[in-house]
Amino acid sequence: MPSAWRRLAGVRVSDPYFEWARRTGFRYFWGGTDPQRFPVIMDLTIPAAVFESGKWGHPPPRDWRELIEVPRNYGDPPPGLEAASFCTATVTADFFDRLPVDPALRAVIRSVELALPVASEPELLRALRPIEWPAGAVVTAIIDDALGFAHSRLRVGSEPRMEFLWNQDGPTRPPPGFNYGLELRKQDTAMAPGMKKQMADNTFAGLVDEDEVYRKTRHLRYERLGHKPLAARASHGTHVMDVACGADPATISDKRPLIGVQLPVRTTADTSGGSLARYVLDGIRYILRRTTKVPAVVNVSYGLIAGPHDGSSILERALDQLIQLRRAAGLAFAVVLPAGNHFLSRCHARFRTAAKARPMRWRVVPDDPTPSFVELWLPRNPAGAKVRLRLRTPTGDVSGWITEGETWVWQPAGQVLAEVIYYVAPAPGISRNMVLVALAPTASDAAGAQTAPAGTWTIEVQRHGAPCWVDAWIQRDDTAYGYPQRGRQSRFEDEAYERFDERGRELEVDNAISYVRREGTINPIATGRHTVTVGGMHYMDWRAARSSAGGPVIQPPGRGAPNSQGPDVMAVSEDSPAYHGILAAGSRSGSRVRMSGTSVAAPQVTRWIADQMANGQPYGRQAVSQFAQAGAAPGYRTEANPPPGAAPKPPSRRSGTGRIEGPPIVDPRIER
Amino acid sequence: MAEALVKHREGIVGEWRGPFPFAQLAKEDPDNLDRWEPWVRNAVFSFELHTQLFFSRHVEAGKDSFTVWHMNSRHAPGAPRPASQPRRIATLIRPPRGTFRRQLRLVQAWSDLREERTTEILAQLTPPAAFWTGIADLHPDRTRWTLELLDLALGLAGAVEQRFKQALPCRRPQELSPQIQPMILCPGHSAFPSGHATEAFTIAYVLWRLLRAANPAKNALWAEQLMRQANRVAVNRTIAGVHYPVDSAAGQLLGLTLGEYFVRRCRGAGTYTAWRFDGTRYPRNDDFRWRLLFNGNTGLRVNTSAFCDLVGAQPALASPLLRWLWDRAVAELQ
Repeated sequence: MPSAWRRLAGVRVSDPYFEWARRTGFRYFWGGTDPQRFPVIMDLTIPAAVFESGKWGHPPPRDWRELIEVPRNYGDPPPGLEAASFCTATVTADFFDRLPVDPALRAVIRSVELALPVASEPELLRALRPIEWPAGAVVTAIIDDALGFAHSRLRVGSEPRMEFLWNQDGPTRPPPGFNYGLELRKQDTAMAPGMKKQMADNTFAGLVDEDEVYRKTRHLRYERLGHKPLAARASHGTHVMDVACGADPATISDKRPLIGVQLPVRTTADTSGGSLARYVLDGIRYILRRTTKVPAVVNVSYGLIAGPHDGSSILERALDQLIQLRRAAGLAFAVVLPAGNHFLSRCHARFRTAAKARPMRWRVVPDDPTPSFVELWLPRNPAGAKVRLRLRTPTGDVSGWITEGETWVWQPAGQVLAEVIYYVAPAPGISRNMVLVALAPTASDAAGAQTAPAGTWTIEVQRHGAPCWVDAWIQRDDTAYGYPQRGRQSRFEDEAYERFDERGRELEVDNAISYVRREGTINPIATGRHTVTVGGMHYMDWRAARSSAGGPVIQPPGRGAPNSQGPDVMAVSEDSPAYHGILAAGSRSGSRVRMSGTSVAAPQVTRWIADQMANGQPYGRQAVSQFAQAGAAPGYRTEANPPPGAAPKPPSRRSGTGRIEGPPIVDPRIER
Repeated sequence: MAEALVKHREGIVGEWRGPFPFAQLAKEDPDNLDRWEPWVRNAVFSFELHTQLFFSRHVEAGKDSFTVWHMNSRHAPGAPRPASQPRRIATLIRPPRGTFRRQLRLVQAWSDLREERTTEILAQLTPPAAFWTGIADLHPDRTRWTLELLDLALGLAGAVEQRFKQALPCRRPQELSPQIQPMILCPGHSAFPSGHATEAFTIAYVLWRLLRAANPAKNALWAEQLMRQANRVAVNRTIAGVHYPVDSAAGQLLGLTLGEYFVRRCRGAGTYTAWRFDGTRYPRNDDFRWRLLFNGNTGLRVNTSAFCDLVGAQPALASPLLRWLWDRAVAELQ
């Protein structure tokens, strides 16, 4: 039988994920219809404000505004962010084709990444009135799903502490400078009653009717089809908010206001992170616009699996840049991220290439209605160290050897079911080359849909020049907390990988021989230089939580040694090995629920940072690390005063400089 | 056991000594109710309630209307034949077909919560007594009369709601789409009005009035919790896939009205309010919003809806038998 693999000639790739999306007729991202316009995140060689204005230093293409729409927010940066050079945009398919060959575009756009869309609204031309924050205020900002702002743990007195909330897939009232979502404000505006008034108006017998508040603000639309995370009893965002900043409304200072950015439901549902970067960057810019005169700490409890892991992804560099610019402008600013929970998920492979091909076995599960992806990241020095690779399908069909710059598809009967894109980074000084292996879903109900075979796909990698280390990650493809079953996580298989010890416990150390590694599973949006990354541990014995991911991070091209071996610190994410998660707010007042993972550890550090900012104390990455190592503060335990019976500190690759146990979120008199 | 009793008696009875002196029990005296078993009382009380009801179809303001009436039947002393002066309790007008078409989308939207509401939905298949006894602190030993009274109110709601369902048959969501797939066996009666909503709001209202009568210091928080509970039960039926939100709206109106009527019949002199639910005026895309008909701050019924009408105050015939039960319930709750 002839092979169904073939090499495509003349493919110009400006973003491998866009190439795959278009090659498969937008079937897996836009339901099979060409959306005409695509949301992206961009890395620019010039300030975003200059880019948005069109004064590029050389004439832009005449039709550039038809190709690229940049939210007005980026054209109007708050003081200090004038030099910020990352932005989001909406672009045409034509843009992707022209970027690699149009010198005018190439001169200003270093790289782009595709994102999933939400419905957009016309941009509102509203003047942004300056905001008067109380003197000494510190803002805690949360970027998450399902933000239950009316929860009693998030009030000051009877008012919401939330000053501004951008629900990114709410309807028809975008914040100034953006064209999607719903912005809610605490105070009334000309256009709508504020959150404060809605809560006062919907208080009955002393109880806020939170359902009614969310319904009337349109923050939660019960009539909407699909998943409504804030309608559920437990929601990730509300829990994280409570951990980061929840307090007794009777005693909390009015100088601790909140800002929320609720990511689109689709962004959370699609755990492969296809749209995360774009919405997080918009969210951060929104927060920065609202906090021009006040310190702020942002918690982003989201994570992925695949990525460069050297701090070079567009989002990571954007976060680093914004943190630096904001601090240079004299304002305290920090971003806190979770280390991730995929330590034991067998999604990372690492090996050294040789003359003999190294086969990696990628076990793709049946009944997965979403595509699956592997990213193979090559070393920073592409000149001497190239690889070539070939793929074997579970049906035994082997591709030819695929080399740098090539794109191959597997198209057994009409539709493209697999694609391999050897992507050459356009800016080798910043990012590395990457091979994307993309697979169609293994299940589909759509009429006429063809599916990829489930089973073992073998990726054989061979040196093609000097030998080198290759890291491969399977992209996240599981189902987010509380969401309906969507993706199914595939994994690498290797008989040399030991999952259990002789007593049946899950092993947390790598052996010397398996290419499947626990190390290096750290959240790939959390390997930047200035963001703070938090792993998870047990409250009971201070052991690492089994799933809490670890470093090392990879040495970034052209930027010296890695900043960190992995996470910066650990905080409590589980009560004990048997009692997963920690207690904090459920979706509605008066309820407490358990949630686990590094998502709930990170906000404890966010809380500490906010307190430090309020006291004018050091709060950055270094300060957090030093505090974990040797610090002391009322209510906190660190490596300087661990509880009796605390396990020895886990390796730095998982625990950074040390562990922090913060004051409990729920009254400790509640038995646990 | 019977044989043992026979032989035992033979062994100890001795010679026959005639009757012990006794007085006749008073006729038609409510205090005799104490002597009967609960099921007997229930039959007596139900007779008292249901014999005063009538159901009719009529055209009102050009709309095909169905009304349950309080017959207000009584007889003058010495004149055995009763005379009736019927008073309206509640009128329902069925929503048009287009409303159900639109409401189906809401049923689909609410299905998102099925998984996490499963335990509640299953626990609420039959009248969910555990959910209101928990709020009002009821117990079979300590508050037996209250539980008997609530049973009676439930019986009234059940009879009236089923009569309306028979008259105003409406197809269940699963008949409109094969994709609704309810998570429980769909009941074999009409969707409109919701029986669960009718009963839950009847109980919530009666219990609130009872608690308040027993202890006037009980504030609106008790009413608020009881009504939130009733709403949750009603909404759970939509989540399960067997009711449209409009069914719950009609059920709430009917339940609160029957509750008020029931309390009036128990307490004697005074009036209750009669109401109309006009399904043709129900906004087709609207979800169930219980606050349109009840103010949680005052604990009073209100009408801020576009689809209900207050028809007016009506006198209700007191029932000494029902009063007997009410007073006992109030006393044990004090």
